Amino acid sequence: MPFSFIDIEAKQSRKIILFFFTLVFFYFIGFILIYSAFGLAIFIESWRSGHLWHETQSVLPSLQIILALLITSFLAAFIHWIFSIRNMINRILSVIRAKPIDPEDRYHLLFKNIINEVSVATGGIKIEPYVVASRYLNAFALSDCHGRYIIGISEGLLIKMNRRQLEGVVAHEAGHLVWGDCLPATVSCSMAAVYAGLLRMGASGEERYNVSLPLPVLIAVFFMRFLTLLLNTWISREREIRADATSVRLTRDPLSLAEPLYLISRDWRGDFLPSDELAPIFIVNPIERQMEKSYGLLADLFTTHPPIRKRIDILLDMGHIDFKTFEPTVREKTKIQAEIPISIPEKEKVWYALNGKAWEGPFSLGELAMSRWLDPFTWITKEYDMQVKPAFEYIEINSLFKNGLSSDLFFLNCPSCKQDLERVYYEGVPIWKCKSCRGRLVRTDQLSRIIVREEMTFPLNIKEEVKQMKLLSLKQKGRYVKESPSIVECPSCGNIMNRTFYKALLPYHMEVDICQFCSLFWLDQKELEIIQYLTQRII
Amino acid sequence: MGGLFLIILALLALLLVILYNSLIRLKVRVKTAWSQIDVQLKRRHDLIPNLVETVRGYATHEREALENVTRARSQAVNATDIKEKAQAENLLTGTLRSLFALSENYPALKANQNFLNLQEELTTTENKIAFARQYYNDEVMRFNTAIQTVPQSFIAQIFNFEEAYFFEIKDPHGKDVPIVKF
Repeated sequence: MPFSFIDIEAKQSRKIILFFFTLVFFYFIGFILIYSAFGLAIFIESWRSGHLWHETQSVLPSLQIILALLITSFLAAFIHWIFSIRNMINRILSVIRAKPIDPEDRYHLLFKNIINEVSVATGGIKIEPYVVASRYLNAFALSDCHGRYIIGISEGLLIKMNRRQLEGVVAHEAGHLVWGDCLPATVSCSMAAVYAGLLRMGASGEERYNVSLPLPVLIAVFFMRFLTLLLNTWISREREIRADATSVRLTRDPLSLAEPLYLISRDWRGDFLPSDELAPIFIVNPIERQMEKSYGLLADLFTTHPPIRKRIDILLDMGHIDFKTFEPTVREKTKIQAEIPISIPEKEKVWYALNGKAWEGPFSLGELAMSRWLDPFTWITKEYDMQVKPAFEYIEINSLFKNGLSSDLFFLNCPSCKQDLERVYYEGVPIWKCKSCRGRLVRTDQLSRIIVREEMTFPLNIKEEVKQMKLLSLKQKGRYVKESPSIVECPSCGNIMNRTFYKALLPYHMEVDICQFCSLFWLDQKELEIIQYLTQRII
Repeated sequence: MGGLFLIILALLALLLVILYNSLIRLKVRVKTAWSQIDVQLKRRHDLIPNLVETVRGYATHEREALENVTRARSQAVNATDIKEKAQAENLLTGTLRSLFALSENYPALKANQNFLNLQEELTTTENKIAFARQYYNDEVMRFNTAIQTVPQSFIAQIFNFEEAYFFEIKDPHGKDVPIVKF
């Protein structure tokens, strides 16, 4: 009987409510143990030192004590449950190195659109998109009690999935957000941290702590840590299955999640994590080494995610397909590239504007920006457009006003040959290119993104050049000589750019120009491709 | 004895209030979900004139397809009741599909940045319309289930809660997608 996603969601929700009370129970047991341990320790001490207390210190607590401990454990669990929400999000984001999207990037735009679509499906929660500039395949979701929701994805996953698959992944993460899973996930970040802190305190027992915890307490704390770890991973696994079911509820397409899970399991999912506790927020556990083939009990007990194979099986069950039929179909499908147009027609002269009584034009967007008399209420029309609208109703012109009508962005000149720089898309990223010398101006964050994306196949001459470079570096004889003149001015701010070795490829002595103030790289004719090719070869 | 009776009465009143509130909440969610669909539909209406003009600039001979789109759009904008709206929107989707199919023949159009942006915008809007419809239908299902299951059904009858309608699209000709013919 296949699972229906509605049943799974309901069942998992009931389980998760149970867990809070289990947490209370564990705290209660822990406190009882600690109380008893203290009692026992005191008893042993008094017995050893020969003093016998007149009032026998009972090892087991009385009824009133039990009640007090119960209330305390409720409070402790409650505080713990909401404890680490403060500012956790920004800290976690910086640790994962996630950044907000670049709205001009085609892939990021696609990601943002997909997030908006899925948020409509959830009933309209506002979700912020974040991207990690790395090649591993994974996605995560975060939320805090201030109502901030975040879904992040890695560049690797963003590029390798088609639209449908991305929807499945985003819907899974949105499922976490909708059920409020992310809140306890951040709690679980701090859970072990609290006990680890206690353990550190007890183990050192130095003068500076003034307190050396007796052995029974240490054991109790260890036990608590072990139990909470078990509890955490149990919660996390149940949540993942529920989020999978929610993904199907939102997209009504089990395969849209099954395919990405399958593809991720066969690829690099990022095997570095600064802290184990961060694992639950990802769609697939980054630390797992291989796709689980069995449902073995012991192995599963300590993992934060159910075995991927099990998740795929549940999804395929909903879709009435078996794994053998499913597997070859996934391999056949190729990713669908986001449409990558070649040029950005900010230079296209299609704009007409009404200046006072007379219509002026045709302008390009840049020239329009230069005109002094342009204000948000100027009447504008575009070629081929039958309508005449005030300026603020055009998205492109509105962004001009937002950027303060700065013409800097539109009239950049090539540092070598002084011609106009044209904006083009390269691997979905908008960069400036000089038509005559084919040099390129790239922002530093854009360069890391370009390197991560490997759409291009490189022509032979690049490969040849790289071979030469490698030979030279091996012999430590020459180094890559730049073609542009030795003093290059930054097109944006006018300062002289710094000629330096590209850090990531230091052994190859690759010289590039960088303007530190504007974070812009100037790369000559073939340098961009060489950097890309070299980095990819290294990886 | 009288005190016990009062307590029971008070509890019943409390139960009544709770059940009534839950029904009201569900009903409001249904209404909100409906307005969500409207938002997306309006967005699509706003995108279409720009699309038509861009295509017209490159594909001047495709007058019929462009006029179909424009006509379908004005029909959709002027539709009043739910059934009319659903039909008009369906027709609009069909004409848009034909238009995009036609644009495959014009490589210059496909390289045009504006057109690609519009295509992406329209695709994402169509998806949002579909998701909004799905969400609306889910809410309707929840509401209809609630007013028919036993404790709330009595309250629903007393206060005259009516079943909400699903957003269905019934094509009178029985065909879903218009065939593209050249």
